[in-house]
Amino acid sequence: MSEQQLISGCIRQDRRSQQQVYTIYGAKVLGICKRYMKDRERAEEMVMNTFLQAFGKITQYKNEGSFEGWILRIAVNCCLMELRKKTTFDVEVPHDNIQLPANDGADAFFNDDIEAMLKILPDGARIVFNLYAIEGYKHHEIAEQLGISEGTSKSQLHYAKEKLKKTFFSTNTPKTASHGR
Amino acid sequence: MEDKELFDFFKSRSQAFNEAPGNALWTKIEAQMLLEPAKPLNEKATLFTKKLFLFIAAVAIIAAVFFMLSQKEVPVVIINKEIKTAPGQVVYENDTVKKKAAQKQYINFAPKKVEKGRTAVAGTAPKVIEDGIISPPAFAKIDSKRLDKDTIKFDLNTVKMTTQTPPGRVIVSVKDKLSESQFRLLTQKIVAEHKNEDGTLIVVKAAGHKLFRQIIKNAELNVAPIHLAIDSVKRFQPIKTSLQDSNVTGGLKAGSITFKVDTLKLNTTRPSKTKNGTNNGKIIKPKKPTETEEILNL
Repeated sequence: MSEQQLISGCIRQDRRSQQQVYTIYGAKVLGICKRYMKDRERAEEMVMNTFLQAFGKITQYKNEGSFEGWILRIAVNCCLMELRKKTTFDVEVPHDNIQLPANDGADAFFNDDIEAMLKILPDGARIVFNLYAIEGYKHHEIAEQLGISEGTSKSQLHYAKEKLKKTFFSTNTPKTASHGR
Repeated sequence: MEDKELFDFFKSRSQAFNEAPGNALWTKIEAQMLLEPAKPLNEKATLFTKKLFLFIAAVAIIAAVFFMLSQKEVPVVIINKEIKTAPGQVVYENDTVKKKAAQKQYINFAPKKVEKGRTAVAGTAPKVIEDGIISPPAFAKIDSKRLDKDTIKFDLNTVKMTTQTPPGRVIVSVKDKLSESQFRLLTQKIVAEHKNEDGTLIVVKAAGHKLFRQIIKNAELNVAPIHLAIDSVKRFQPIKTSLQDSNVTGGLKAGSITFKVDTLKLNTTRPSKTKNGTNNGKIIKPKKPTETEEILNL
């Protein structure tokens, strides 16, 4: 079944077409939701919201971009809407707050488990890092999406970068949390 | 490590998050979709339909309001059975009269129209057409203006009222509702009845009218609120003179001409208001006698 046939089926509220869409794009949608949400339950809840929205507003899809991109965009927006309610973005993150793990050679230690690597970041920094580094958003877009200032977005990104670098990619990584003092 | 390298590191490995959600989650989604009613496919069309429906409803309401306003013509009121018969008067039985509700009481009170030979008003009595079939009576339109005119006589005797006569006063309480002209007639009648009771205070109470108070003054001159104007020509009529009876031609004798005061004809007129609005009730004294009268009066 082609993508266009799937879309037509979804417009007709055909269950088989909808399930097909879920099977094809569910994995990527869940991947996005896991990146933004810390726990799996909330990620699955966001997956459900994403598909409900996609099937409910399927008539708004204009065939201008890819259908996959449209669904993944819905997934990101669902996560951001949820996080915006519960996340407080500190305007300025002091460098003293950067906590370092006790292990050297983080890359080897986490064995490329970027999910675990990102979990060391606080919510605000993780979201901004996700949006900027992985999704490719600009600072003004992030600011608009999250309802924060561009300065806050930059600050959060800077914090996320420094912490990830010092934790996982620094050769002289101190083993204590009092690094930098 | 450069920022770009860091970003590439995570971006290239972002696929590691992907994971098939499983059938359990799909079951939840399917159940949720069943709970939520499916939205119409074309929302714009639905919106247009709603707007059209609202517009039609609004037009219908406005039309209904205009129709009701235009149909504000008086309810049909049956007034007949309250009218009592009197000798020489017509009975409007089973008449249906189009009349405003506000005028109903006035009509009920209105006396019956008297016509010669006790003939009914045209169109009000049932007609025998053929074979004993009786047609219903036609509508008898009663004109309120016509009722107010003198063509319909106002029977003061049928007015329900109570009279109290404490010392020096006559208090009349009218139970019926009267029009202004009827009330005026009634007060004149009451004053006329007590015209000889000098100093008596006449009080007439009627619903919807100002309290009427009048003190009878100069009872012998037959006054009250009514002005008396003595006709100068018919002021008196000599009955007989001693000169005429005795055929005396030598001249008039003082005091020999007599006349009866009772034969004086009086013209009663309504009290006129002065400029400042005060009344009324003033006695117009008789004109001075003419020279001839003075001579006769010697």
